[in-house]
Amino acid sequence: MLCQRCKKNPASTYVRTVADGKLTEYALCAECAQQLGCGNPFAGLWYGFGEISHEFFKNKNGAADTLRCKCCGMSFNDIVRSGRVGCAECYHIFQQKLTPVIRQLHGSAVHSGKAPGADLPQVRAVERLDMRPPVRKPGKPGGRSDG
Amino acid sequence: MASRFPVGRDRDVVLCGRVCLLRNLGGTPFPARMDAEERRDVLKEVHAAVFDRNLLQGEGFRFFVLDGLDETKAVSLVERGLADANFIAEREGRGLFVSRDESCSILVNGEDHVAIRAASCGFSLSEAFEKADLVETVLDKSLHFAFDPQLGYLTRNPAHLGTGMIVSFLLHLPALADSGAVARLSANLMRIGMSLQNLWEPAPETGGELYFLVNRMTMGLSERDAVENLGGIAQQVVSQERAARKEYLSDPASVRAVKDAARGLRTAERLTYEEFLGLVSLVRLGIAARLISGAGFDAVDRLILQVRPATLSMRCGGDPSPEKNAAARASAVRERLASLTAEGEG
Repeated sequence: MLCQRCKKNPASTYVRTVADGKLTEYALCAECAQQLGCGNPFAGLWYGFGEISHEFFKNKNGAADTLRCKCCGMSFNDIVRSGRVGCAECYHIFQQKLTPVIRQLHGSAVHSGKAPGADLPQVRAVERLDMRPPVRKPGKPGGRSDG
Repeated sequence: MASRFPVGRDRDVVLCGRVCLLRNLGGTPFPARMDAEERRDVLKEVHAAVFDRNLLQGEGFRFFVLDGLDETKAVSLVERGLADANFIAEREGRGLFVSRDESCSILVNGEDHVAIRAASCGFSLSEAFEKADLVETVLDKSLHFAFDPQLGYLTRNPAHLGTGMIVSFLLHLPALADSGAVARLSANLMRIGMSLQNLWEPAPETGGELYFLVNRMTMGLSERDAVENLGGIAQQVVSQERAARKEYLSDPASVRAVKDAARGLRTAERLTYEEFLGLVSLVRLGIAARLISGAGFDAVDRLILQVRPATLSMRCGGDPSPEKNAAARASAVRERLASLTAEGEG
C-alpha cells in the first residue's frame, strides 16, 4: 500500500487522526511519519546499518541477543524495530547500546532543563513584535542582553 | 466576551500557543506494555495525585474514564484540543482530566503515563507554561517521575528525551499558503528541529490554512530556551505572513472574496465544516486588514472549535445527519456572527 500522504513510497506506519467527526486511520511511509513526528526515530539509523544490522543485535559472544528488560520484557531488537522503549528501566538495562543511538538522535547534548523538585524556568514575557532591525549597543561587543 | 483561554497578542496570525509535558512513572512498564488492570492502577495513582492534595482545586479538574466513552464524545475531545486521535483510539484503561476552562488537560496512559497539556490564546506561552509547570510540580510530589541526570525525563519515544516538552503555536497562514511559501518554510524549519505542519495532517487538506509550528528539540536545551527559540521563529513567520497579506490584498479580486466571505457566513443556510473553514479563513484575514468589523478573533476562533463535526453533534444532543449538522452549523454561525459587516456594507 502506498503512503496516503505523499502517494509515492510504500506505507509502513499507521496513525490515527480525526476527519469529518470520525476517527480515521492513515497509512504513512517512514519519511512522512518522521515529518509528522510520529515515526520510528531509529528508522534512519536502521537503514544506515544495512548489512551490519544483524551484528548490532548480537552480544559480545556472537550469539543472538536475548537480553530482555526485567520490568517490561522488551529486548533491544524490539526497541529498535518499534522505535519505542518499553519502560524507564530499559534506558539503564540497554544503556550501552542505546547511548550511540540516542547520540545520533540528539547529538552529544545532555539534559539541561528542569529536574524533579525544581520549578519550570519562567518564560520571559515577549514584548510586542518589533520589526525594526536590532540596534547594537556600544560597549557590549557580541554580548547578549537579557534585559 | 470572555476568552476560553488566557489572551495573548498577535491574534491576527497566532491562534494559540500550546505546551505538552511528557512524564512517566519509574519501575513499571509504559502503558503499551501494560494490561488493562495495570493501566487502571496507574489511573488510580494519578487520580489520587490530582485530587488528594487539593493543590490543583483552583483548576477545577473534571475526570473522564475513557473506557466506554462513546465515539462522538471521544472525537470531540480531540476536536477541542484536549486529547489526540491515538489517545482515544484505544480507550481501555485510559483517563483524562480536563480543567474547568478547558485550557489544561492531563492524559493518562497514552503513549506515556502522563501527558500534561496547556494552551493560551495568541502569541503567549507564559500562561500555558505556568499552568503545565504547576500541574507537573504537584503531580511529581507523589508520582516521582522517571528521570536521569544525563537523559532528562525518560519518555517512551527516545526522540522526546530531555525536557519531554513539545511546544507549538497554531498559526493562520492564508497568504503564505496562497503564495506557495509554506512548503519552502517547512523544509527549512525541519533542519533546525522544528516543523510547520497543516492542522489536519495527515488527513487530506480540510482548509482554513491553519498550521502548527512545533519545536521538536528536547535535549540540551532548557525549557526557557526552547520557548524563546520557537517564539523567535514564530515572530519571523508572523512578519512574513503579514507581508504576504499586503501583497495578497493588493489584488481587488482578493478583497472582493474577503467581503463576499463575510456575507456568506452571515447568510448561509447550510455549511459543511470545509465550507465554513474556507469562508472563516477569509473573514479572519478581513478582520485583520480592517475590511470586516462586527466580530473579533476571539469569537471567530471559538467558532472554529465549536462547530467541528463531533463537537457540534454533541451540542445538538445526538448524532444528526450531515445535512442536519450543516444546517445547525450555519445557524450557529449566523447567530454568533450576526453583526459581521464588510467595509462598504450598510
